[in-house]
Amino acid sequence: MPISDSCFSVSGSFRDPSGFLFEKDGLIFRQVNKGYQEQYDCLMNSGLYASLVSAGFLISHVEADVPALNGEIAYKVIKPEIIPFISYPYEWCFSQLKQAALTTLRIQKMALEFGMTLKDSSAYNIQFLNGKPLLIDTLSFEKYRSGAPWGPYRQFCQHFLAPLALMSCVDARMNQLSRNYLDGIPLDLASSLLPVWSRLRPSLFFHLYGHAKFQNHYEDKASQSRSCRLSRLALQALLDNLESVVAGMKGRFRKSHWLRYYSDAHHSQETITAKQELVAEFLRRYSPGFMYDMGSNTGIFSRIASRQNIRVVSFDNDHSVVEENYQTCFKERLFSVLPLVVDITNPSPATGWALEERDSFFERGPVDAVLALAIIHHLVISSGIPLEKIAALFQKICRYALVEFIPKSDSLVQRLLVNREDIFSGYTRGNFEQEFGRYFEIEDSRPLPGSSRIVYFFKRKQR
Amino acid sequence: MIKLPPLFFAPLHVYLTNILEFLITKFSKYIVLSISIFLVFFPEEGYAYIDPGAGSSIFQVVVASLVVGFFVIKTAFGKIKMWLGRVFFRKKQKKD
Repeated sequence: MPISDSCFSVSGSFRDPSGFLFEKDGLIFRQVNKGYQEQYDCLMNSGLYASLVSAGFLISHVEADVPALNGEIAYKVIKPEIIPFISYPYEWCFSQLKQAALTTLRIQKMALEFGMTLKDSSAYNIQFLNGKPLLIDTLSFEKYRSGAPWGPYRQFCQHFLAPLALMSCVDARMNQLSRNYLDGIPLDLASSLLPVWSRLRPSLFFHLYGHAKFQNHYEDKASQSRSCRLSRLALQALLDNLESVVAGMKGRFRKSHWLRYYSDAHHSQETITAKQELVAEFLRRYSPGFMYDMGSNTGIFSRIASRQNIRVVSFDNDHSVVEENYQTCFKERLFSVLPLVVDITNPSPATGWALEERDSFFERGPVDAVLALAIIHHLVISSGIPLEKIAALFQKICRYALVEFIPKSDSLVQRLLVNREDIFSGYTRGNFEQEFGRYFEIEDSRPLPGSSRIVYFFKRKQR
Repeated sequence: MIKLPPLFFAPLHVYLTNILEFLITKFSKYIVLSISIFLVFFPEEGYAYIDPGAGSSIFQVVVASLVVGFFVIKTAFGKIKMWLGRVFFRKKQKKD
């Protein structure tokens, strides 16, 4: 079926009875169901939508004159603003998750002022657009009933507070647990993983330990039904407390040698400057609109692209460098960079129901171009991936690539081989050119001054 | 040294009395609630298992009742600070 005739629901939004996303002619629309009519009208007419959008907290949309996918139950069809790249909480660094949590709480506070409340607080409803987290689910609101408890409290604790506490008290890598637990890290698991001293923090003691105990205690109780009441003031106090708990958290990172990668003795300023010039030339030559910076380290090359308003997904498997990348981009206001924690040798898989709820990392592409600087030797020697497989992956995900080849004679490759038997006889410049040459035209190759490294300009061959 | 005109004392006094009254009213409510926490923690009869979040719903009432006092004080101090800031800022501006 040609893409122009395509019309199908988008996976990942089927759980919500209020509406769902669907794709038509390559564009994304959201159907609002009749059952959600009253809440939707309240959101739009109360002034909440306008306030949230102007504060940059909610995705904007326009009502579209497009036939609904399921007309019988449809109230309206809206066309939300496009998010260039969907990322998931287990790919975020500590500060990204923290900002997403704070945004959720601020949205809830604002909603309360307009007589509405969030009905869920899933971290998957938050996405990064222009460097800032915003809510992408327009149908997440409902009218506030006086005295009603905050429904998404459990979800907030599981999706945000538990991973943030683990990243803060144990290790930033604990965020990877979210990859397995799509409805957030179970609080009893978080409690047992947190160090004993963390119980001394009243906030964690109550929101995580106490909460987990309470959940367990009431799990098997099926006696009388009794509704809980939470006054508006108490709800405001709860939100204020959660906000100060989250705002006070700091990430715990191991001392990573990757943070000093470009400042150590192996990289002369001459080499780095030459590499930056080559990146700038690559961008001028191919003018990509959207690209990956693979093994980005602290993102010094991503920022060159960002200064030219090119959208970059800048990923690395080390939390410390991604955190540094995010902080730097934030300080320099380079909002077209999206730093993510992704291991290229084991990128995020498709997960959820029928493996269709959350797309795998590469399904969210492809991109126009890839920067792969000083990474190929790690893939071949540290991870044992043959050059043939690397070239095959590159041709699937991009049209243009700037790839740095570091020969075995280089001191950094020698360092990788110190404690390994050299079984990488195929790791030669000739083989590298041959394998990439299967899929790409070698448009240019430039040696980097002050080193034995070569940078290649690749253009994918016509299929 | 800045001398506050007598006019300023009256509204501040009224303001503080109002806050105190407000706090006492609120606290008396939440002192009762805090005692009830123990009853909730060690209940004779359990609350209903309404849905998987039932424990969370009940628990947030407990946590909220613990933090509401701090919230009220924090908000009151914020208001006083803002009011004083406004008074002194206006005075300084007049001087300039």
